[in-house]
Amino acid sequence: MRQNNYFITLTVITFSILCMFASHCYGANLNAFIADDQGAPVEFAVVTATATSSTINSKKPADVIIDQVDKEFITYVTAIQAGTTVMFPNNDKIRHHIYSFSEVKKFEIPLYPPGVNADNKVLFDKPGVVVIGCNIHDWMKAYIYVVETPYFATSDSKGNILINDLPDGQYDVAVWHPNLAPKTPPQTMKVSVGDKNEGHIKFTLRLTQQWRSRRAPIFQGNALYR
Amino acid sequence: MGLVQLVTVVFIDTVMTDNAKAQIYENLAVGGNVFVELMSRRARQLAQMTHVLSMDFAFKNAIATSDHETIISVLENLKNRINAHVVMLISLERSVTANTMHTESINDTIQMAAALTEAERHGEASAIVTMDGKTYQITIVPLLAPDPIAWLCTGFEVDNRLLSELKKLILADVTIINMSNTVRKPIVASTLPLHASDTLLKSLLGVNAKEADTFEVNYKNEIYVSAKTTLYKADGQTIVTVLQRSLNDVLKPFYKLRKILYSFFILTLLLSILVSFRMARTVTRPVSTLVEGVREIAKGIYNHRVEIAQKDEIGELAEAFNVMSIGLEEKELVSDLLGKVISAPIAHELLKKGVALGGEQRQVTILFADIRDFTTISENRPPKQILTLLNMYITKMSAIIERYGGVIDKYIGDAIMALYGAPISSPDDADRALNSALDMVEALTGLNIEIEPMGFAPLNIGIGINTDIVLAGNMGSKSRLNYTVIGDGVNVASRLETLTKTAEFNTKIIVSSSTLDKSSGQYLTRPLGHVAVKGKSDKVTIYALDGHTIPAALPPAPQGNQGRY
Repeated sequence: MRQNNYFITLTVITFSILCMFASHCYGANLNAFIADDQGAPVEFAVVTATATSSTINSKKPADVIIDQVDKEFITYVTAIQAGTTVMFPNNDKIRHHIYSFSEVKKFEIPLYPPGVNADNKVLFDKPGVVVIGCNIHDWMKAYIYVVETPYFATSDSKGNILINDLPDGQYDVAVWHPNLAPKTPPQTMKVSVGDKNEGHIKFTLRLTQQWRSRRAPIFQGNALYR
Repeated sequence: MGLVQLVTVVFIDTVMTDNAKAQIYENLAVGGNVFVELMSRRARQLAQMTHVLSMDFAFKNAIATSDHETIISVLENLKNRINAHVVMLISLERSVTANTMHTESINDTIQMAAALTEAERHGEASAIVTMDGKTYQITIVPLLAPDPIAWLCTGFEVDNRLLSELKKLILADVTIINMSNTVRKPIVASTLPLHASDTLLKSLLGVNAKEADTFEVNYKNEIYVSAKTTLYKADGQTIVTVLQRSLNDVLKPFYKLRKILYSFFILTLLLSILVSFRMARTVTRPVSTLVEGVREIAKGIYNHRVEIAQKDEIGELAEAFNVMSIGLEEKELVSDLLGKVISAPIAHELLKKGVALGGEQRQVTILFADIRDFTTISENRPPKQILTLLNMYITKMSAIIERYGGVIDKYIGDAIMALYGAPISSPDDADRALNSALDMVEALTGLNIEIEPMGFAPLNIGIGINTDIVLAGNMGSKSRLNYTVIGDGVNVASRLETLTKTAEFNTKIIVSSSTLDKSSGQYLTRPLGHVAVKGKSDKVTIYALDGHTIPAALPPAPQGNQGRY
């Protein structure tokens, strides 16, 4: 488990906004690339696009599944819109005991058996970061990033993010990653999309390694005095 | 020998002590490292324990309640589970939100910035901190839920009990000292008695010890070899471990050996002194006594004796020396006596050739001297005066005879018999006899002046001289003998002396022709004719000797004189 520093620099290196046309265009895509300060692609970064003019359709977001496979949460980072219900099926042959002490959503699902477990569902109604763990498997950890906007996506292993069918308009685009320190002020940029032109943006993040218990059964400490 | 031994003992002593010190220093250095390692391992164990505690779900749940009293209560519970002395909860912002030692307060600050930084970097840290005058070994682990939500800190007091347990492992006394100036009680804990650790502290704070890692502490006349190791240094405080061992303890086996060595040394020293004394008494001193004795003998002091009462070789040597010196003394005595009783040349000849009866035929000039009418002179005189007179006369005459190499054969009352040519002959025997006679006559004048005050009338002497072949040698018995000459020639000389006082001749010196014939002839002589001598068939031609001729002016005497007859 490591946490080297709290400094995360979010720098916008380049951006291009090609959508210069009528703001009534509909169904544009926003492409983003997330890299670290070494230029390597960053996975599990969440980019959100919040429309400056509030024309949000208030349709109920679909349920989301965070699975437990081989004593790991699938997936590590899940971005959801506030009001989303997350299902926690158990695809292992053993029980799990998941919990959250995060202010956004505290919950606990005590030892539940393998299977779909229809009751293992939690509604996340407030935006924020929820870190979930398993009481009997210390290393199991996952983040649920609850956002207000319906327009968001999580970067893949290549650092690419695609937000589909973005209505034309002005957006505040922000990026979040679990390895960002809580104190880091959110960095946003204004982006206009429209006329089916795609927006291409790039974020460069400086991340630190995140704390995580090892799967090794024996805790190994560091030398302390020398 | 003793010195060599002393040097050896002192050398061994020094080497052993140095060796022991070096050994202690080495052991202490190892011990110091072992101690730090033990403390480090202990910290890791404590960290593991603390880590396990931090995984407690109920505990996390309790923390989530944010209820201070509940949290304190949970921490107390955890504290009891691992027998810790203090448990604290520290926020990610580094303030102590709950402390079992200060249950009332929140947001305490404790000097453990370095440890927290370490924990932030490595997920675990250990430190030594001072709280309320006590020193704790603390460990810090994150409280994961599953991300860090706080730091859990457990503390175990560093006390004498802990050190006495560790002492068993490192076989040395341990003292932990807080070197920070701000601390009121620098000695954190010690296996030493209180006074001893205070003494140690004073030594440690000395200028030299501050820099050196090793130093010596003198406590109650015992030297403690000490080695310093830094145990912890952070947040403005330095905590050192001082390991100590008593030099005496390490040297104990050696002291035993040293005792034996010293005893052995003293024993052999005494032994060697004894031997030296004995040597001095039985060898050195007797030998120098003997040397002294030999020197005395060399000086001619033959009556010197050495006194060494030993029944060994030296004793025998001393005995032999004494026997030798007795022999030498006797010989000297004999030689001395011989010189007095008999003439020196005879004595010499006797000593040389040995005393044996028997003689040899040799030509000898015999001189007889006699005081005329001595009986008359000595009449009515005390014997002592007569003896004095006689001694004066004989002394004077003998001196002249000896001056001319004549040998006094014997004194017969006032008569002197002297030999020239026995026991050693020389060509001028006759001349020496003649010259002796002339000098004797002349010397008599002087003697007469000397004796005149004594009331003696002037002495007159008659001298007869004859040369003949006679028998010379030791005569008498084996036990008593005389060196002398016998033969007609002796009688002739005696007879000639008698003739000097006859009215017919009335002269001072009568010499036979046989003597004159063998002389150089430079004498004034008067022929006196021929006389018959008893026991001799031929008549003897005699001359009166009146003096020396003046050399070169007169012709050789004998022939000329003879010619007058």
